[in-house]
Amino acid sequence: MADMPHADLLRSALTGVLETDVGHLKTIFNFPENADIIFRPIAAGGFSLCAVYTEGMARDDKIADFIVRACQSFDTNAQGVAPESRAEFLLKNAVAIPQARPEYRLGELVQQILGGMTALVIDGCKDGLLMETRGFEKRAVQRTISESVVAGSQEGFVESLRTNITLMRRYVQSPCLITEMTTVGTRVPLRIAILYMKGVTREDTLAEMRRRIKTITAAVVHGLGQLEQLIEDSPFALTPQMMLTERPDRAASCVLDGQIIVLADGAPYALVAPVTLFHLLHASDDTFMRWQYGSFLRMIRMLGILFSLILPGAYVALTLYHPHLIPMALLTSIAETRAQVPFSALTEVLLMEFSFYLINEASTRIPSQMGSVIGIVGGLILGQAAVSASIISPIVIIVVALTGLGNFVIPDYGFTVGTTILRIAIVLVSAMLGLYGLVLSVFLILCHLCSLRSLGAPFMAPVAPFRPHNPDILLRLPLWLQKKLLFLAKRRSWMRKEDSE
Amino acid sequence: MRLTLPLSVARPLIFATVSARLIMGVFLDMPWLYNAGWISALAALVLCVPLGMLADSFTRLSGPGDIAGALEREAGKAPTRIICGALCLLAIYETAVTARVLSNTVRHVALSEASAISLLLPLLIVAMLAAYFNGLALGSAARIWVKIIPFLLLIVILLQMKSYHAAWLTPVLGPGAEVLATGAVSASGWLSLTAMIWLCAEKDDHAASLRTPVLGPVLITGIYCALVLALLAMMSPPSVRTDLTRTYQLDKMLANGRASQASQLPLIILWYNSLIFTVSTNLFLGAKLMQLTIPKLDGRLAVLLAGVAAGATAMFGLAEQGTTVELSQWLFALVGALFAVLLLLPVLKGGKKACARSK
Repeated sequence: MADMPHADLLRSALTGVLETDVGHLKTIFNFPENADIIFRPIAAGGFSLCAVYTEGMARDDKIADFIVRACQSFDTNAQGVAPESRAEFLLKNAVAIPQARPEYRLGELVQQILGGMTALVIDGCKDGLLMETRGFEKRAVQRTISESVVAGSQEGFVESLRTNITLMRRYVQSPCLITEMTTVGTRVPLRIAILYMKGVTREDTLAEMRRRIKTITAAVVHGLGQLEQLIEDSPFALTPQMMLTERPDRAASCVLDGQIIVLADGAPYALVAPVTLFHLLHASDDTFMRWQYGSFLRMIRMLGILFSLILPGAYVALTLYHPHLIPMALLTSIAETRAQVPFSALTEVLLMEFSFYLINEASTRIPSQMGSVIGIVGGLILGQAAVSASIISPIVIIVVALTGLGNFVIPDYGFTVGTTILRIAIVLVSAMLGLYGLVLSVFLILCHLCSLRSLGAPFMAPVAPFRPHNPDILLRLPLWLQKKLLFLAKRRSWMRKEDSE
Repeated sequence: MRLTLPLSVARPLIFATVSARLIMGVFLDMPWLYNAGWISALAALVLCVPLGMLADSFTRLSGPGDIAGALEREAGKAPTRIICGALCLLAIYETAVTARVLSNTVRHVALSEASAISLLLPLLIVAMLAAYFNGLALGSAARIWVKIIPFLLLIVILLQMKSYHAAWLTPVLGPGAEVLATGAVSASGWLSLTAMIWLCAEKDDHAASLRTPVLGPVLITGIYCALVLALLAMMSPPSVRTDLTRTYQLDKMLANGRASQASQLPLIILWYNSLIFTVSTNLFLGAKLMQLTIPKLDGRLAVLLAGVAAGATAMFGLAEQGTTVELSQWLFALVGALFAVLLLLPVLKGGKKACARSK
C-alpha cells in the first residue's frame, strides 16, 4: 500500500527550530494551497512563537484573547528561562486557556489542529502547546427524528462528539462513567469515544470491543454505520447485532445496564453493544409510561412485528395451497374479490410489496413537505386505481397495508429493512411449499437468530438461552418487580439493584 | 468446526423433539393401540425413569466438560466411540424416519402431487443449516418453541373442545395388556432417545444449578405425551376396523371429521414445527455423534454426511412404518444396553471415580 504523503514528517517530532518546525507543518498542510490553515507568528517575552489553527474549526475570538493577546502582553522577563522549558513556562504564565498540554509529535499536532485545537510552536523548544479552542458551527440539540416518543425526553444526539459526550454526562452523572477517546481509520482518522460504566460493564466485553476497534484496518471510516459493520459479529446476518440510537436517554439507560456506547464525530447516533433482539424491539416510552400502558403498547408492537414477518407469506400459502383451512365465509369473499384479477396471489403480493416500498422510499428521499403528497398519490390514488382496474384484489391491499404498518412499529430502522427482506423470502418459499415452506422458513429464521451473537453475548438471551432477567421482555411489568441488573452487566457489579432493596 | 450442545439448552431440546417422536410413534405408527396409546406412553415413562436417574447421577458426579468426554475417561475410548458410532447410525435413521413422516404429512395436507424428493430436500437443507448453527442455537430455538407449544395446544383444545368425548377413552386397556406392553416397549425406545441428547451435551456454567438435567425433562415429556395422546384418543371412537396406515392416522389426527377444517391450522403448525425440530435435532445429534466417534472430523462435514445419509435412508424406503415399528421394539433394549455398558464399565474397571463426587 502506498504510504501517505509526508508520512515521514508525520512520524517525526518538533525540532525546536521555529522556522524548521513551521516549515514542516506548512509542508504537511500543503500551505499555501490550503488557505484555511492559519499560521500566526507571535513575539512574546523575548522569543518567537507561531500559532497554528484551522479557520472555522477553532474560535478566532478565543485565540485572539487568550493566546495571541495573552502571549504578546505578558511582561514577565522570560530571558532567564531555558529554551527547552519555554512551553511549560508559557503554559503557567501566559496562555489563558484552561485545557492545554505540551505535545512534541508532529502527527498528533496535525491531527488536533484539524480537529479545531490550536498549536503553539515555540522557538528553541522541542515541545509545542496544544490548546482547546474548538468552536466550529454545529447543529443545536434538537428533537429526535427517527425515534419519536410520546412520553419522555425529546433530546437527540447531534453531529458534535463533544456535545454528545456532554449529553451523556448530563444523563449519567457518575464518576464511574468512563469516556475513552480513540480514533479509527488508518489514513483519515475519525475520533470516537467509548463510554462505559466502570465496575458495571464486563471487562471481557470491554476488552473485546477495544480489540475489535483496534483491529480495524480501513483507511477511512465514515461514521458509526460503517464502524458497526466493521466490528459486528455476523456481517452476513440480515439482523443488526448492534443498536444505533439517537436518544441520549436510551444510550444512558444502556450504559447503566452495563452496555458499551460508542460515539463518533459527525454521527448523530450512539452505537450500543452488546444488545439482544429485545433491545431492538423495545421503545423508550415503554419504560416511561405506567406498566399497563407500556405492556399494552409492547404487545401491539410484537403483534405488528409478527404480522410484518409472516402475514403475506401466510396469505400466499393459504390461498394457493390450503384454501380448506380458510373459513368458508372468508374464502368466498376472497374468491369473489379475486375473480377478476389476472395475477396469481404471489404476483399480487409481490407487486403490492414492491409498490409499497417504492412509495416508502420515495417519501423518505423527497423533501418532507411533499411527503404527504406521495402518501396520497401512492396510498389512495394508486391503490384505488389498482383495485378498480382489477390488477390487485382489495384483500391484498389490506394484507400489505397491515404488513407495512407492522413493519413501521419496529423501533430499529435496520431491523425494519432486515424484516422486509426476510418477509419476501418467506413469501417466495410459501409460494413454493405452502404452510410447510412458511413453517420451515420461520424455523430457520428462529435458529439463525438464536445462533447470532452481539459482541459475544447471545442475541436471543435472556429468553434463549435463559439468563436471569426482569419481567421486561414481552411485557413490561411493574418497576418494583424489576430488581435484576441486565445479564450483560458484570455479575458482582456495584450497580446491582438487589442490594438497594 | 466443533459441534457443541450446552446441557442447559439440552433440556428444552429433549422436550421439543422426544415428545414429537413419541407421539408420532405411538399415534401414527402403532394404530393397533387404539385409544390406549397414552397408557403405553406412561408405562414407557416408568421404564425410562431408571435410565434418567442413571444419567443424572453420572452428570452430577462427572467433572466439567462434555458428558461423552467424561464417559471416555471413565469407560475408555474404544467402548465410548463404538457406542457413539452405533448411536450415530440410530440418530441418522431417526432423522430419516421423522423426515419421511413429515413429508407424508405435507403430502396429505396439501401437496399431494409433490414428489418425495421435492419435500425432503428443503427439509434436509433447513435441518443441515440448523445443525450448522450449532447446538446452542438449536437448543435456544427449542426453548422458545417450548414456550409457544402450550399456547398453540390451548388454541387446538379450545377449537376442538366440542369434539372431545372422555367416553372414547374406554375400554381403558384398549387392545389388551399384552399389546399395550409391546407398545410401551416401543414407546420407551423412543423416549430413551433422550440419552443421545444427553450424551452429546456438555456441562456449561448455567447447567450447574440443574438438579435433574435428564430425568426432569423425561418426566415432563412422558406426561405431556400421555396427555396429548389421551386428547387425540378422545377425538374419535376406537375402531378395530380402522386402516392401519400412517395416512389414515394422520387424517384422524388433523381432522376428526366433525370439527371444521379451518380449525386444523394451529394443529398443523404445531405438528409441522415439532417434526421439523425433531428432524433437525436428530440430524445434529447424528453429526455430533459422528464427531464423537471420529474426533478429527470437521463439524460441517459431519453435518453434511449426516444429512446425505438421512436423505438416502428416507428416499430408499428404509424409514417406512413397518421397518420403524419393527426396530422400535428393540430400540429401548439397544439404547438401554449401550448405556448400561457405558455406565457400568467404570465399575467393572475398578470404579475409581464414578462413585466419588468430583471436586
